[in-house]
Amino acid sequence: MRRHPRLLVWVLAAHLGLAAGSETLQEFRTPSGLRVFLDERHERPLVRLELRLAWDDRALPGGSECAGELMCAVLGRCGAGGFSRMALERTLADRGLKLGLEGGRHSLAWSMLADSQDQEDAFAFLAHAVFRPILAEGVSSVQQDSKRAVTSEDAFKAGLNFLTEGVTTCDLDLPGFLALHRRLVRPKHAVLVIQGDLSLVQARQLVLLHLGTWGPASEAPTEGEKAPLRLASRQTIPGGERAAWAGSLAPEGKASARAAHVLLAFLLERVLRLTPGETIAVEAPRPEGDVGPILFRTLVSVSSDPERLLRDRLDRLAASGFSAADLEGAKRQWRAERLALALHPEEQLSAWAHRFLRGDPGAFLEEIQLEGVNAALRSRISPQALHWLVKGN
Amino acid sequence: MRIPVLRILAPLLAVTALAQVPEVKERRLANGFQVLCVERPGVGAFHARLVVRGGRADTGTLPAAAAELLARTFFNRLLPEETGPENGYEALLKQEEGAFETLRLERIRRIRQIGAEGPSEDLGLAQLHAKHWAELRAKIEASALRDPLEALGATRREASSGADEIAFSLDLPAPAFEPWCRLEQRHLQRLALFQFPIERERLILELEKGYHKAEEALSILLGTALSGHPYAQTYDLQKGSLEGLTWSGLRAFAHTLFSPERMTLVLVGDLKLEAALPALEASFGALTVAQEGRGRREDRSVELPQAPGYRRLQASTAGEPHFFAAWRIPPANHPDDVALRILAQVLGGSKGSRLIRRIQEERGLARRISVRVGVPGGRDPSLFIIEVRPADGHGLAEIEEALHGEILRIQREFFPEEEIRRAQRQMETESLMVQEDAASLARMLGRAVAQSGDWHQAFRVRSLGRDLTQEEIQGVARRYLVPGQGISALLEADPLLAPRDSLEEKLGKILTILVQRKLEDPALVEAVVRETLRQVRMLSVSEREQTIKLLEAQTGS
Repeated sequence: MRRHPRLLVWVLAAHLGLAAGSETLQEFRTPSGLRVFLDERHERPLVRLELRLAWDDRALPGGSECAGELMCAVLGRCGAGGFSRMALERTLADRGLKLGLEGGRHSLAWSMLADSQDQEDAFAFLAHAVFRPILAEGVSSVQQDSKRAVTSEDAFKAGLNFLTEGVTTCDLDLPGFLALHRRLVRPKHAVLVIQGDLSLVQARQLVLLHLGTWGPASEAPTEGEKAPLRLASRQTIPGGERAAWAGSLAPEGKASARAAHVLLAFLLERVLRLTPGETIAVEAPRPEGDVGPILFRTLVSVSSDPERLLRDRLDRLAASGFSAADLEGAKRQWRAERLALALHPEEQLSAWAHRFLRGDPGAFLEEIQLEGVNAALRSRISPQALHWLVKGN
Repeated sequence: MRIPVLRILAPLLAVTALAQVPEVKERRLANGFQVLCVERPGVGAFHARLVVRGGRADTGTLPAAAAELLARTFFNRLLPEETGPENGYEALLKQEEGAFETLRLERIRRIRQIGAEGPSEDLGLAQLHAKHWAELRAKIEASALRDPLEALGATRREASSGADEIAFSLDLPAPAFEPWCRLEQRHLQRLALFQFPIERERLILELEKGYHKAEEALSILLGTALSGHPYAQTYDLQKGSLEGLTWSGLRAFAHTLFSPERMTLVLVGDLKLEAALPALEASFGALTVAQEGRGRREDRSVELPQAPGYRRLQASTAGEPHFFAAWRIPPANHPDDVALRILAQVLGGSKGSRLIRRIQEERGLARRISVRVGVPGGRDPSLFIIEVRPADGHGLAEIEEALHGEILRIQREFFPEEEIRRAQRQMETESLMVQEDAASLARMLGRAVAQSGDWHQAFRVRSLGRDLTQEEIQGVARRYLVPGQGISALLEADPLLAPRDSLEEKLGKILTILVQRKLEDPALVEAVVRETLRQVRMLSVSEREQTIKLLEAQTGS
């Protein structure tokens, strides 16, 4: 049976004291330039993969606020490798493979978790998902859904709205999406992080076998490219319970700017969570993840005008600012979260992938001062900087 | 020199066992407090999960919501005054409690006494309560930013209450272990609960805004299927019962529940149990055992109670329509538990599972199907539940019929071996994957202890060591998924009392006019109109509009 020879090798390795995971990441590259990092761990017969793409606005004509979320929305409904979406999900479930997909404003990542005896399948299906998606299926599904729903809280939270200014569902066609896919899904935008029960030799072989042919696409614009997607500054959903949301998008550019945004998110989350009887809540990105929008929402509808309530509360926050004690508390929390990442391998892998692609915002933690944070607060939650979603009559 | 084979093989075999189940070190302190530790050297941090064996089904005469409120009040935030000098909180809380209770009782008195004369004392009492409330809130606001756990570097703090347990978890840097033990000891000894009024207010607001709607449907099912057992009220969160809870009452409940022999601390991370023992004994080991209190379930029988026969429940509820099929099953530590879990996996545990394939994908009847074992808990007899949300254009009666057919098929035919193998393997893999993350591992271990007293139960599928047979799976299906132990629940908005949309409302009025021409009995008229509207729900919007036009012509309007 398949399991026993591998298990015996693993058992022998554990007995001989080779089971402890190495803290040193091993790196190699494919001929096409894809960077690969391996963290060997033999405590459990599992393999975890994350292939992450990241780009900045220069990668897209005129920039786009929604590319990652759009890619995620479509690819999440695609089949791949000759399997329809339904068949793909069933096949993955049957083989005990867990495939995940997440998209942020400037990033997209596929993850895979498998028993190490299924590592071959893990790499094969990851490659299917990345290189051989059935895009027509995904685009069609998203078009149908966006006709059904006007806007939704989830879509807003993902930073994506198909009814944005100048863009309608009709603009989301297959050639347009194909052009976007070709522009972004390239080895130069990507990094692959592997963690688990396999050696460097095995990792090299599997990467070359399944991802080795991945090459850079043409740099020239392809036919059918569409105008950039922009998030509307204000959207309304008629009917239903009155509520309001406001989102502040993350800044572009250097890791230092992103660090300030993340620290701001920490501060807001901490202050709003610890204030008893608070009427608004905030959802803020994890420090090592893609620096997504900071999203505020009304917690309970205590007034007939939740938008006004939210604006007033944000104005008061901007006016009061944070104290030195707040900043020190937020930094302490960020340091503690970074330290605790090792307890949560899935997030640790994502954190590594982000750092290898876009630099480590945590490296700028100590440089950030109170004046800078309060200035960022005032600029990030000013009415002009926020994107609003208002629901209800 | 002859080398004893067993001496060589023994450690290898021990490590083989490791592959199946994590190495969990266990200690019980002198006062009964239990510690489970999974050592992961070198990570620099640890995850701690404190599990109290007693939850929503152990509140005795208090409502089940008391457990949820206790979890939030005790664990959501920590004020420095809850572990140090109390700084006037107790007096203020007593004042607030007195004012709130007086106001509540006055309001009830006025409602009950129809035609009550004399001036209402409401206004004065409300003002008095508002004064104490504002004072308390300001005090808490000033204290909240000095949370001692935050100062230690605690992150990922979560508190929860289930039927069988209340739990709290967090991540901490490894050097914070001893200070955290001391802090938590003082916290557990005091059981101050100073934030009770704030958390009660928050939970009441959440209920008013419908944040717990998902549990309402399940609550209706549990109330009928498990009536007479504390599990029946697990998800019954009512504003009135929350308002009736007092700070003193909740503290008294906490004092009996948070007794060291009912607690388990699960530690996963950069700790060695032997090195941590002195700190554990000095802190958690010094907690005093509580007096025997209310609501203990230890005296209850765990035999499957005699079921009253098949029941079918139809109820009007707000929100999305639900169909439930549920059967009574024994507790989680019963020998049949593994087979029941594999049966659930075969039926609805993955995309390729039987019910999802046949009812959702092939016939398109359902939008979502889930199959769960051990609802709402596993310490006592509970439920095996199949929950179905119908797809657009399909009704609950249709779902009921389709599911009934599948259950009959299960009774009569063996499952193909391939389906059972696949389900078992999926569960074994899941059991392995969940060990990777410290929080999910701690959650599994804590739940196993809360339900059965034995952490090994968390890995019983993986450590089974053999494949289950077709006979065994069909055996549990025939033993438990039988009408005598079953209940079906069809929950959807009543088309007459809560029309789904304006079309349904209009159609209801037209049908009532037409049916009243034929039937005299108003109850019969209502029944016919109601059933007709349910059937019409399966039509598309355009078909319903056409139906309205045709019927309007018959009314002459």
